[in-house]
Amino acid sequence: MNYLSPAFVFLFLPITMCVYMIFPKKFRWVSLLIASYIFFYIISSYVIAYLLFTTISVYTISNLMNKVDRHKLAICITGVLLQLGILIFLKYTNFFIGNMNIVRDWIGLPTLHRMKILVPIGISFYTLQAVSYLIDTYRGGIKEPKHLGKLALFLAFFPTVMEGPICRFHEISSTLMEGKSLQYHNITFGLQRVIWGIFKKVLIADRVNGVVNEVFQNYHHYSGIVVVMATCLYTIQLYTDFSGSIDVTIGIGQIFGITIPENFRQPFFARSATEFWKRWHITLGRWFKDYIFYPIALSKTMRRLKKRFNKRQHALLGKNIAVAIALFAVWFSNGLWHGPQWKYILYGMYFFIWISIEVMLEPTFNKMYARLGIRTNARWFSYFQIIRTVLFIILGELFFRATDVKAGFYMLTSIADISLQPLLDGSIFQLGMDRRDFFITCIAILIVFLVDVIHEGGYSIREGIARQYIVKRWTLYYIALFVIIIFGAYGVNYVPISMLYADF
Amino acid sequence: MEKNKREKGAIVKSILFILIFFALLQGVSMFLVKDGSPISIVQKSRGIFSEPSNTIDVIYLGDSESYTSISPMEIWQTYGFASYVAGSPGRRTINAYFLLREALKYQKPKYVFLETNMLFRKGKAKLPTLFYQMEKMAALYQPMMLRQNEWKKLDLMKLKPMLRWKDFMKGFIYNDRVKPYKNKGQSDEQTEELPNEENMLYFKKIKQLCDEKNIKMILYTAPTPLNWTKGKHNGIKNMAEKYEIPMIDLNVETSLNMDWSVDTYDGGNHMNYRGARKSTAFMAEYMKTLELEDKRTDPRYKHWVKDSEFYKKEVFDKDEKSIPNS
Repeated sequence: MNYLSPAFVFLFLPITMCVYMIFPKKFRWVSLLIASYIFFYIISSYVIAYLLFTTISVYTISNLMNKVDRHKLAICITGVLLQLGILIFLKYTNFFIGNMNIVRDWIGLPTLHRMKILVPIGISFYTLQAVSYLIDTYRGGIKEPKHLGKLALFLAFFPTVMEGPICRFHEISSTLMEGKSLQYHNITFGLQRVIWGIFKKVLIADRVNGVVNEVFQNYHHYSGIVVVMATCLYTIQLYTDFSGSIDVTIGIGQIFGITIPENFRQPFFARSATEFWKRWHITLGRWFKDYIFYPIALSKTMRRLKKRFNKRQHALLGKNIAVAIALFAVWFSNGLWHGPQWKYILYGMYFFIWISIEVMLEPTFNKMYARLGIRTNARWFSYFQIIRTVLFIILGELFFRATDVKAGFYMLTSIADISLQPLLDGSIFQLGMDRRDFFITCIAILIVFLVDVIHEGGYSIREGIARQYIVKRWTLYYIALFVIIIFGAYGVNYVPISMLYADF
Repeated sequence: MEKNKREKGAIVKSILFILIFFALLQGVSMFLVKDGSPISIVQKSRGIFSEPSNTIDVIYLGDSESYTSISPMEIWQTYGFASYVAGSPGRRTINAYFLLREALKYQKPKYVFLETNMLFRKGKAKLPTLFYQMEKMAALYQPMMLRQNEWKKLDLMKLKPMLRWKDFMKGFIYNDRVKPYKNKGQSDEQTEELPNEENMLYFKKIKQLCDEKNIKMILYTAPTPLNWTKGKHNGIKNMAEKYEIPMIDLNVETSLNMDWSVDTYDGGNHMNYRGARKSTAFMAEYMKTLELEDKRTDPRYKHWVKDSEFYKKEVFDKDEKSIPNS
């Protein structure tokens, strides 16, 4: 079951809403907790035990931190290492074994057997939430008394458990535990958000999947424009799939009157890699910033290192070394978080290099622009930055999607074989999408782009529609629903595609 | 008071929105359904209800084995017999009984061929009446949800509403994929396997219903090496003798010349079109021995002639080119 399956939409969610309303206001959070655990059990079966262990251990450790004054840091570190240890064991054991086997094979030792490990869905997400809870408790950021049930709901809340967003306790707890009654405005606005998410996933992400899979799995057969097209489509697929799923998540939250933080803010309007990661998977970037980047960059060790460089007249190096080390830690972790494969680490290092160049060479670039007379606040310059950023993002996604690092480089070099032949002879329409599919996909992408343009301008489309007369409003809603029903890529002619980020 | 008024208004608006949605769904479906378009499995199982009354002479009743083994259109093209496959995936005998009972309000067939695979379905049906009613509603009210890609067939110059959809395949489902059957060495026991209590009960009800309506019932077993056993064969044979019902087991008919390396699309569970043509040809010859009339020149069957042309174009001609020596 996932958020877009009929069982969830027509059975689980309506029943949860009914049960929620039956419970007295003070205990409605309990109904959400029960629903969340039922949902988690359905999607992960007996490995729910890991979630339970995480919940109980975080509760115990955070309580302990509140009771003691001394050794608080040590207790916090123990708790964090415990949570991360579980994640590393479940997700990365076979990765380490695989790499060790390469070395062992090389030196003539027998290889080790890989372990059969069942990983709970969403572990990468709820573990980061658990770690943030512990660290925020240590920092004094969580004022409420510890409550096992409420902590359990925070970690297992069913709309966020599969793909995030990665929430902080203080930003969600008030609305999560409030038990607000279901209100017509919240239900309608929530459903609108859900429908928008389904539009993105079912009209674009799921439709292009056939072409993306075909080209990336059989990359030896393709080159040039086909590889470029598939990479662009994958980038669009990843965005519409992930942001669409987040729209559904936020919409479900809104139905219950729960405010879930945004995870995307028109990422393809970013003018730099740094800005991109403030607009894409916002909560993950924020987590790394708050719990890895700043703790490292502002640590005593880094300050001492900076002083040492400054004493030796290397002020520039001193200023950048802390940033570089912290960035390295962030991007290595980011890459590894996405999965136990070298291609993800490469992806992380790609952004490390790019962002490091941006940060460290910013003064140099500014001087260069000034000398060349380039007005960096000019509109054309913004467009240039946006296009440049998008191209670099697409390049990164090629490696992200490729089956492995070797395949990624092969595909990259194959782009040099530029030929328009697949477009001219129509073979491009036999990869998984025919001409009509392409047409519908292009229209849908255009609609998503226009919506993003409007949102970038600060205008809320939903509020704008809500101000219209009922006939106009309902006409728009019906058009949206029927566009999904008629043109959506789902059902007997399509292979069901799971939510992409749930696999991480 | 004001709050109550607002709440009532919200409920009324919600109900109205949903009702208008379903009305629009039906309307849009009428425009997007073209003559002879393949439709969902849920609707196929109820396709017999879209045929004009008293025009079906033979009903094939069963689960997925029925709609993958018999193509009524090819029987029509050969001998002009009007038959219909009322099959549904995973159907239980109890639901087959419900469907036949309902179908006999509108049709007066001379024969009912009962496919035997569903008689051996294990366990008890869960809430059969509820699921039968849900299947009924789903066939009516979810046409669009299951008609993906119908929009690609639209010819904007010929857009016209269809007042009623029909299945030109008459319940048959075409599948041209090939996945060979791998013989795992089935044991050749001579034991007898009988249907469980629930299946026997509803088998007897179907028999009783047929007797009341003066319909001759025939048991037939579609070719399926994955599901067939000697025990089941013996069980059906003994049931047929006990209830004096003719029985045909296509699994033992060597004249079919089944080639399970190419005649199945799912490793021997069901036949593909290539296999179905063989079993259909056999059953057509069998039906020739029954008291059935050639309706090809009957004016009441003009729609069958039209459906047959469409079938020829969409299925037969396409497959003729793709299958060598068919």
